[in-house]
Amino acid sequence: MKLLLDLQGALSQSRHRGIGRYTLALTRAFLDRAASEHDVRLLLNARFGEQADALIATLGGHARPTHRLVVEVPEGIRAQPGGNAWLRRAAARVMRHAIESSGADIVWYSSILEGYNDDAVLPETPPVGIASVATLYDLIPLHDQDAYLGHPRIRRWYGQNVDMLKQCDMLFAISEWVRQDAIQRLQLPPERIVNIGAAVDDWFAPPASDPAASAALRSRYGITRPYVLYNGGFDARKNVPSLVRAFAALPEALRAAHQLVIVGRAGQEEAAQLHEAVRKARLPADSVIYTGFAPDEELVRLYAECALFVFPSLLEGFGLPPLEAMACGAPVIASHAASLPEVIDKREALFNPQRVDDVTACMSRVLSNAHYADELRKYGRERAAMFSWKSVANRALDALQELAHRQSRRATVAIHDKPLAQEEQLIADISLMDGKPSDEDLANIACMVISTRKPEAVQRWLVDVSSIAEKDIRTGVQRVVRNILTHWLTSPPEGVQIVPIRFARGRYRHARRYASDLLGRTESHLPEDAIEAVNGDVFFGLDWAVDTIDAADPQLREWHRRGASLQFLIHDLLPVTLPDTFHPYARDRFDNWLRRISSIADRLVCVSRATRDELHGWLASSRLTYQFERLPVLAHSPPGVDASSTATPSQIRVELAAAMQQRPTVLMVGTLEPRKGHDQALQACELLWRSGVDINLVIVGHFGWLMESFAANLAKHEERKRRLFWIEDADDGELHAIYQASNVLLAASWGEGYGLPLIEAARHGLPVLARDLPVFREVMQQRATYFKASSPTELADVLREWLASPHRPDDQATATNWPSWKQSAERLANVIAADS
Amino acid sequence: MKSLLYFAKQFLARRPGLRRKIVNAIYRIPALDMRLRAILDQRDDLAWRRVDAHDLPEDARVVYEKLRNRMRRL
Repeated sequence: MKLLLDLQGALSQSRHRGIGRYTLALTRAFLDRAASEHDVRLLLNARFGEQADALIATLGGHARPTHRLVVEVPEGIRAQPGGNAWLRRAAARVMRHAIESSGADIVWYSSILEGYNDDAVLPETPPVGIASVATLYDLIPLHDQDAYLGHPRIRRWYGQNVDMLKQCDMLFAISEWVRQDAIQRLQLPPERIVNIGAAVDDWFAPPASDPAASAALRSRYGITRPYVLYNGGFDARKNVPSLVRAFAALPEALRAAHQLVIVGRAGQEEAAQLHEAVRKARLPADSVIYTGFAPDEELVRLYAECALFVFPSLLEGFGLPPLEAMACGAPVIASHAASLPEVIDKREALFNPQRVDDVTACMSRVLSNAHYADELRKYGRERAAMFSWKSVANRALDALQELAHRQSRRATVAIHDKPLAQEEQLIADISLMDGKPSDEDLANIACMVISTRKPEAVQRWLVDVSSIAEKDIRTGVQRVVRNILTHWLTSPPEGVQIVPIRFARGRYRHARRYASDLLGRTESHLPEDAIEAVNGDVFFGLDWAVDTIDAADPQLREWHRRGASLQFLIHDLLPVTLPDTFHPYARDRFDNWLRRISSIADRLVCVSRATRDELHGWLASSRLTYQFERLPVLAHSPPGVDASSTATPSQIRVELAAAMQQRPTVLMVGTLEPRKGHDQALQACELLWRSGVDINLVIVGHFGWLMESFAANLAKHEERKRRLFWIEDADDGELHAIYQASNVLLAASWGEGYGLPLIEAARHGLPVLARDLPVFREVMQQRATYFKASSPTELADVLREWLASPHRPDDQATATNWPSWKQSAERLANVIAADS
Repeated sequence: MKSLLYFAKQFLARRPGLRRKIVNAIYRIPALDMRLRAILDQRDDLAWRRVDAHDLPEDARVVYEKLRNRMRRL
């Protein structure tokens, strides 16, 4: 059986009410029971973004991308305040299309009465070829239409939804009373309505004794005496004023010994009515306490510690609060009305809610008789244990299986096998609808239609090149982007379409011009139109898109919600691990980028194992809020190394060439920035020079940041252009020649993401003297000599020792195979493709 | 203001030396630094969510045009 569960009841405004709680609890129990035997998919409304994230997190693996259908719903389709009839009807028609094209046998709506005050949307008529089932909570508005359906708009909206209910193949009533009421009021055949019941969540149980917590709770609400408790709504049918009157009518001693504690969220009008009832009852000021909304953990303790829980409702679809109270060990009495006798099947615990004296008498009996109160507590716990979500889920599953069996015997048209024809029909239907939609309305509906399509057979990898497409300033990161993307574009991974994208003008777009330039084509007028990810796509943050991540974050979250896999490449964590070596602004930007991508990523791919390990530690110590409350998977894949330099060695500038011929040369290659250890190296060389050791220190690299004083020192150094050289503008040919003419590469860096200059030096046959960092050991293995030097003196000793007995690693014995860019691109593709 | 800063950033991206000097200068005025960063970090969730009929992804544009053409014909 293929089942589609519409979970809008747990996303919309209903999530704040019993419907949301019921939907969530039943969905969990149902998925645990049915997901192993049946194909159960979840239908979510993307308009409820963060609520959908929370639901996906709660349902875990049951809500994995392959099992969720997230429909993009236009904003402003709610029934209130109106003026959007065309858009509402069109959205409802597209929702029907989404369900029809899902391939499900049965769709189960968690709540039909949605979309008045929010942008929930249900089909206007049941989908064709699929059985429709809906949970029916009650038809109470039909009992008192003046109170609940007074305004024509709400009456029309309710009527439309009830019509939809009538057309469903099966309804799940939450109580027998609701079932009988629906049979009678909607004139439905009894066999089409099944009472599946309701239950109470597990956390409603007697709490552990905690005198301090009890005292704090009582103090917070001003509870100073044993109390009578009410929890629930405040509309007229809840009959709360009668409870106030009944409490006031208790024998004086009994009333004075108790307080009435009223819990729940009341509107202004309802609160005013409540206060009026208290005033009329002439109760002392501290006799009635109104707490407002109480969170579950407080509610459980309030239930458990009350002297009596009273529920005087006149009409109730099920009556969850009394069941919760019983589960927590409260003595409970309630109205003998509607569904409540199904919850409390003990006649003496029920009263006539229309008669205040009967309520008072029932209350008095419990409050004045401790033995009877204990008896009710015991009964309540035993009775509550009979209501479990597992049982509700089992009843629902049995009914669905029976329905599926009946449906399979019917000849149905499998229209979901013809998606194109189905979409054409949808467009034809919408275009025939009355009304004058704006261009925006049409565009919204078009986007909604697209969101209902099934994933393509070929998986798309949307490769973010936002930064490099804006400006290629030849950084190390951009070298990785160029090489990997070139290989992926020219030989894409099997079954994958590579789509370079960039974030520009408020959203992701095709980066066709950059891709064209990269491949040496001259198609400069390619359109860079907007792009949207669909379920099954992979977004890969190949570039370090630090400038766009803030603005891109909502769109990435939306894509993630839809079922796209989000993965990012991380080159290093240096601004985090060595914060003092970066400008605070750069550090904050990096930190922000890292936090944002970590919060939404499915996988973070580091260029080295060492960086991956650092990232693991950083994630463990950072309290991030993850989009689906799930940490990203960490992986590593090394970058490629350029084929041995094809640049012809060129002339080294005259004064440097002369110096290199005269004495041994220690070479440092890398941008001038604090973490590179240039200052320690220079101080070490100064010590060596003063002690008569005759060597050159050659620094090749651009100025980076936070090294102004060091650069000034270099410029006025007495050894400048004698034994100290800073080459800012070496081209590949000169660098090649410098590598060949040097004696050792000094890698004094305090932290690196990978360490490409070390590989380049080794490829030129130059010995490498490297600080003992995990990443250097990972990259160079036995092809470098490692040192630990915390001070210039120690580094001077290291250099002196090495110069005294220079040695070159045995290439044969210590051969290291660094991956080519082709191999790197393939390896990275394999990492991305794993489970995505 | 945000778009002005965005263009300033783009301009300075091509002049790293000038950019460094300006960034260092701004950093010495914490209030200005915080203000500019707050503006640059401003997120306008609804801006990208708002569907623009003139800037639709290709698939959506095809459906949009089909709808519009059909409705015009009727």
